[in-house]
Amino acid sequence: MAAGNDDEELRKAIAASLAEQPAADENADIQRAIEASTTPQDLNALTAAEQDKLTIEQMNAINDEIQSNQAMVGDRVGVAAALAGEYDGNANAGFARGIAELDGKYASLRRVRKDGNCFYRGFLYRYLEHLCELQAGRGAGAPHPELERVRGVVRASKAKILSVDYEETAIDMFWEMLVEVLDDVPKTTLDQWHAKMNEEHGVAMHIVWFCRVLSAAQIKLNADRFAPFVMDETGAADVAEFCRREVEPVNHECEQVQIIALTEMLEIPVAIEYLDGSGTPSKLVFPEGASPVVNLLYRPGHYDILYEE
Amino acid sequence: MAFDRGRLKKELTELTRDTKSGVTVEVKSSDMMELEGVITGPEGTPYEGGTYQIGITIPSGYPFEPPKMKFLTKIWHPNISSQTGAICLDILKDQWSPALTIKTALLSLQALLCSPEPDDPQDAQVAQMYLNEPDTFKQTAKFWTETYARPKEAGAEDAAVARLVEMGFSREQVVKALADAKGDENEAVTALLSGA
Repeated sequence: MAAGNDDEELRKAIAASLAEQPAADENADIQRAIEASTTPQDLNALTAAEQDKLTIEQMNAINDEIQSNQAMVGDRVGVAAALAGEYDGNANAGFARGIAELDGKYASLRRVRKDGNCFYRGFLYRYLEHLCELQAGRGAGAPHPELERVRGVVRASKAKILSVDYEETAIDMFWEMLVEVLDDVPKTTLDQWHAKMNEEHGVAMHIVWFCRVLSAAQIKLNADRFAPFVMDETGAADVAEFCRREVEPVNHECEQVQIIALTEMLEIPVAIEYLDGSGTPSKLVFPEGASPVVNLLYRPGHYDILYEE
Repeated sequence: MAFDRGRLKKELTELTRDTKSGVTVEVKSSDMMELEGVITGPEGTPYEGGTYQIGITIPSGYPFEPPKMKFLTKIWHPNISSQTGAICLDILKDQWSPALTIKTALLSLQALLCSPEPDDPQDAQVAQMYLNEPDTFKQTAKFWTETYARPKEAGAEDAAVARLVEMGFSREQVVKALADAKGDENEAVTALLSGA
């Protein structure tokens, strides 16, 4: 009887599902599997969970190394002095020519930690540094108009962010920290700002991440306009999904879409010099025609800060 | 800066007030780092009627690092280990962001019960069954729900005692018979009737 057989098979399937399996200590097994698989081709033999764990361990090791070796934002150094070493012996002579050209155009450079946050970190560092300079120029007087302007924009950003379905519980603390940092600009020296932006696990990581929310909110608020730039390989454009995958996660690298969105949200323009092997760096300004204070250097995969004087 | 509990506290306060989302969280340790969440099986899935306890550990890097979550209640699902309760879900790993909360993570687990992703399995055996024998999968998952995820009906045992007492046995006899029969009412009746 067909029905009887089905029942019998289901009974067997359920019995098999209940059978004890030896994988009592998954972590220990994964650890053993990882240890056993020291050669790359063995990766294929790992299960998804094992690969995840391996990836996470490698990522953590890389992050630890980056943390102990690279300042979040370094001191100002000459452009050629900072970069030449990295491209010594590079078969592509275009890099050396490009560096020479940048060296003639820019007085110095600050290295930014290579942890996936470099655009947001470099942007925020340079802009706030500029605000501190502007304010210092006015002495203890009234806030500089640019400081007033950006404070207004950041204060108003919370309502905008909440309007595109972020939870207040989740973003409140980050928003408050940026508001506070801006409120404190009149009593912040450049050295204090530099120290603040280099404090591990401190305010910096919070306000740098908050830039991601500002960028994502702008993308969501202008979904129609940004949709063509966030299409996936199938041609589907889901801005919320794009923000979830490409903007919000900590340490996720930044593309031009995020840059445009952040500069729009804060109304702070940025100029980026693109250095590749072609010889002449090309400069892009967002938005076009603006005269930004924030100049960044982009090399494939990374942003640093450039200073004209 | 030491670990800041401000955000975690806010989240927990909010969760206590929230009666609509259908997820609850209980604090299990005085430092608030160990929590236990409860989600219900979504309607129209083999998990309907089930109540699932989720073990939650808050890492010191929270909310920059994801909360660690695993199913404490056994469940038959391609993305959850049937042995350990370990969960394969991107937002609990590299796709986590501080924009997410414990509540949104629990809601995502509920969503995962609605839409398994067998191409990224945690439990290969379950994923195989899900892909190759969908009917068997559904019934097995249902069986696991009935067996492991049914909330114990409060007072069920007392009701059995009351029924047997009504049949004319003393309360003392009834309680002993039920205990001997490990709660099986029919077996207890048989034992009582045979005078054992």
